[in-house]
Amino acid sequence: MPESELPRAPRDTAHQALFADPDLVLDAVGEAQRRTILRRLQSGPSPVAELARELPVSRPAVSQHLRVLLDAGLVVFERQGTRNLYRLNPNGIRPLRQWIDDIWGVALESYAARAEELARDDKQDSNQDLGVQS
Amino acid sequence: VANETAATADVRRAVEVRLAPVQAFALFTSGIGSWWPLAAHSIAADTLGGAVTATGLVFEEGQGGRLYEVMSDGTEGEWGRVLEWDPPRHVAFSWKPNLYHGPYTRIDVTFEPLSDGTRVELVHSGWDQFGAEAAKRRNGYVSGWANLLDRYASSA
Repeated sequence: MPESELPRAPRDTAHQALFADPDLVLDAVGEAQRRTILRRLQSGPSPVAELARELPVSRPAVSQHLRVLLDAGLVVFERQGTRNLYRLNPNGIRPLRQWIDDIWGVALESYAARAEELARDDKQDSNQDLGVQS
Repeated sequence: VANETAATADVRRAVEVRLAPVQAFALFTSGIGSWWPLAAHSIAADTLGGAVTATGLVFEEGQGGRLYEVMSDGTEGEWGRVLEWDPPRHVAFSWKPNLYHGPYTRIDVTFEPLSDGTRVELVHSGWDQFGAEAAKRRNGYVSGWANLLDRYASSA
């Protein structure tokens, strides 16, 4: 199928998260108040004012933290009617995960594990052929 | 300090397995669907954000063979094509397991016989095509830990 018929990826958040700079993510989560904001957003989207009410931080400070989280791709911003809501970006953590577990490292580990299963099966088969108890 | 060379340097990984090269080659290519971590890395997982899931990965044998993902809605998403096919020593294929516009990178896998198995080495090249975006694109393929080890090795 030609590429043009495939579903088009959104150019915004998913793209940002896939190629985001892991340094931005590490810096963003490396601050206690921002982690508190992230935990709060786990229970659902929220406007700035509500976050500021619930946390022991001034509203400008919350806005500042949200800016850092936005730049790192960890949260996204959406308008709902007249309200501006912040919510977690489900793909936001990918750069961090990849910083720890790179794609080839994970893939080749999985390849080697499957190879080891096949090698054991082979050995068992040949032992059976020779009448060896395994 | 990062520099142009580091940002576009080939990514290299190697692993040793207790299989003969013929088996190691077959497992890597036509057997790819039995080991590739599709839940973590696929067009469906990376690009389409959970709207569909990847259900299989197919590596067609021979020059020009397609490497493609099959998704839960029946759609196929191509990741690349076989550029060189020389079993059981070497296979090379183009690589772009996502739907973003941009160049394909290149994967070379070589299978070197050992006394009790095979050394499988993978080289991922072509990062210079991304220009200023190279370091960003390369990030996912090089872990922070691997980076640290590379830097350590080059300074030793």
